[in-house]
Amino acid sequence: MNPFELVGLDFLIFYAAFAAGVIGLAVLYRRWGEADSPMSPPVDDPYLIATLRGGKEEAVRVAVMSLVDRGLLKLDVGSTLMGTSLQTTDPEAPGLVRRPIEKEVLHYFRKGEELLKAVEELQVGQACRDYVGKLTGLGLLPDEEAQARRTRIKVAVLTALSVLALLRIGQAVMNQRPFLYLVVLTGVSLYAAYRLSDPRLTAKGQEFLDGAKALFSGLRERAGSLRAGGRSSDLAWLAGVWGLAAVPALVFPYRDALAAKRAQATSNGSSWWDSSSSSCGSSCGGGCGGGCGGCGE
Amino acid sequence: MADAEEGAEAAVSKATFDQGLMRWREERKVTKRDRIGMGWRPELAAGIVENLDKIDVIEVIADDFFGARKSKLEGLRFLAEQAQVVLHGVGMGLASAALVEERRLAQMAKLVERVRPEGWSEHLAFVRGGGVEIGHLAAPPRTAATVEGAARNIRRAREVVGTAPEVENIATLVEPPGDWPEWEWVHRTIAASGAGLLLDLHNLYANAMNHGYDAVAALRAIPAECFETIHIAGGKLIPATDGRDRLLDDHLHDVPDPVYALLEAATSRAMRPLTVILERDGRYPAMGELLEQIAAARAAVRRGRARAEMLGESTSRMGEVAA
Repeated sequence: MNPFELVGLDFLIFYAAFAAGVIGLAVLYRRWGEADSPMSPPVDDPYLIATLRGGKEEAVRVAVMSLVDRGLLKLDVGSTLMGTSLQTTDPEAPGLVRRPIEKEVLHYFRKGEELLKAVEELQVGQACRDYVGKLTGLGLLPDEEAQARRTRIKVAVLTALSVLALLRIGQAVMNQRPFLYLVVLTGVSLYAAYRLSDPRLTAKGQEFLDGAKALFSGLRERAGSLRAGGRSSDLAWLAGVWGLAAVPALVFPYRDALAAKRAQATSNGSSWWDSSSSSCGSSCGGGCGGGCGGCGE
Repeated sequence: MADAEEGAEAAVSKATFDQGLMRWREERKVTKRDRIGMGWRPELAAGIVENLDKIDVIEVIADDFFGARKSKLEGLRFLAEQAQVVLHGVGMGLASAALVEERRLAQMAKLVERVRPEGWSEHLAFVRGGGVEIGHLAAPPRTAATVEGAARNIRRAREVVGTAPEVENIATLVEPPGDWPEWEWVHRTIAASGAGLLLDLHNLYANAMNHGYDAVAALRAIPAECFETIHIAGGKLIPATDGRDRLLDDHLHDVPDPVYALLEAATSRAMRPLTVILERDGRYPAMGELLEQIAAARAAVRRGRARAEMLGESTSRMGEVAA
């Protein structure tokens, strides 16, 4: 069968099937290369899982929430132009916690700081860098080699889809036939190929995250029965594995304040957003729309 | 010819794999110290993983993972790679004249293959009859027929799963009919099947209390080589129509002191390192309280070992004097 002899809907169906096949093979090839890693990831640190799930920013927010619940950080909602500020309640607090990210957060808030600024600055701290390094070392986030492999796959798939579409469009132009639907279909296919060939996590990382979620599903089911006051590590694990959104706002009323991103915090028309957006860009690369979410690695 | 060679190669490869798996299981099973752990419950997940330095072994209810989706199994596998995990079945109904369901054995085999636990266990109970699930662990009639049936089921389990289960004595509020008292029936079943015993001390304590015999004497009658894995738990007294209270093994309460005393007594005679599992199935207290019970069990085991050492020393001194 010569696909270039197909016309109209027949070619579109062929192209959609071709794109699905090529993207599917690319995803399988990528997953095959990323699934095998000799080291076993530990399920012993909620902040590690938070970093895997949502990036370094998420780990900082989860740590802040846990420390507020334990009474080691004092929260002052709406105290500043940007919204929320925090201060360590006890100068000795860093010595009372065991995880490096918690020590770093407590140390940072010694003199009181704004949450959003802190989230940005703590992301580049040693604890967050260590988490990313550990996740990369365990094969849960792509390392340079995996990234290069992904790039090769992505280029190959995008090239194959583009060349076929361009040839067909050229043919359509010569034959004075419409090709608008093909342009739309090509755009959708290229976008899907781009996203699916380079997700944030490796196949093993996604597998580990899904496994952790399954392991802690009981915690999510009984989230409503959690009690405030730092009586257990349940809050850190709930927020770490499932995200701040899974934390019941009725029990932890400061949840939304801690989850607020820049755009939300400045929705009253402050000009602060514009003046500091450059720092967001510098710390996260190009994907900062809506507050740097998930670009921590 | 080529097909035959390929077949032979595949058989050799499978046999090598099986041997490796068995060796791996044996290696994991070899432990030189007593261990205290607890049952995995999703509600306690955070507390358990945060305290793995105080929890030596985790017992997972296998039935919760039968037919589970891949992510749930992967989560368990990750846990098993991080901590010592044993599987505990609740739904096979091994102690029955009826054949154990092949479907359940296959599910257990698959789970064991996937998770590679240290071992697995089941109850000496029947849970269904005539196609009806009775919804709890019931004591079978203590007859030669159930001994034979249980032994046959355990042997079949060993064939399908690859290793024999340890079998657990159960609590019963009503004495079943039969030819033998509970522990004679248990001994006969174990002897006939070759399985190890998972000794549930709270079940032993509850049965002794409810049926009027001495728990310590019953424990003393169990051969010392049977002590390897032990369950401890708590229960509550419930009123009965005859005016006597019964102890219900509900796993919703703290471990009572007599059970710790039984644990100490069992440890003092144990010839091998013990694995002790704290069971709790609801009304969960703060994790700290459960850790205190684990610590109390550890202390009981330590006292038992110390007592054994003292007895050993006095015995050897007596030997010296006699010589």
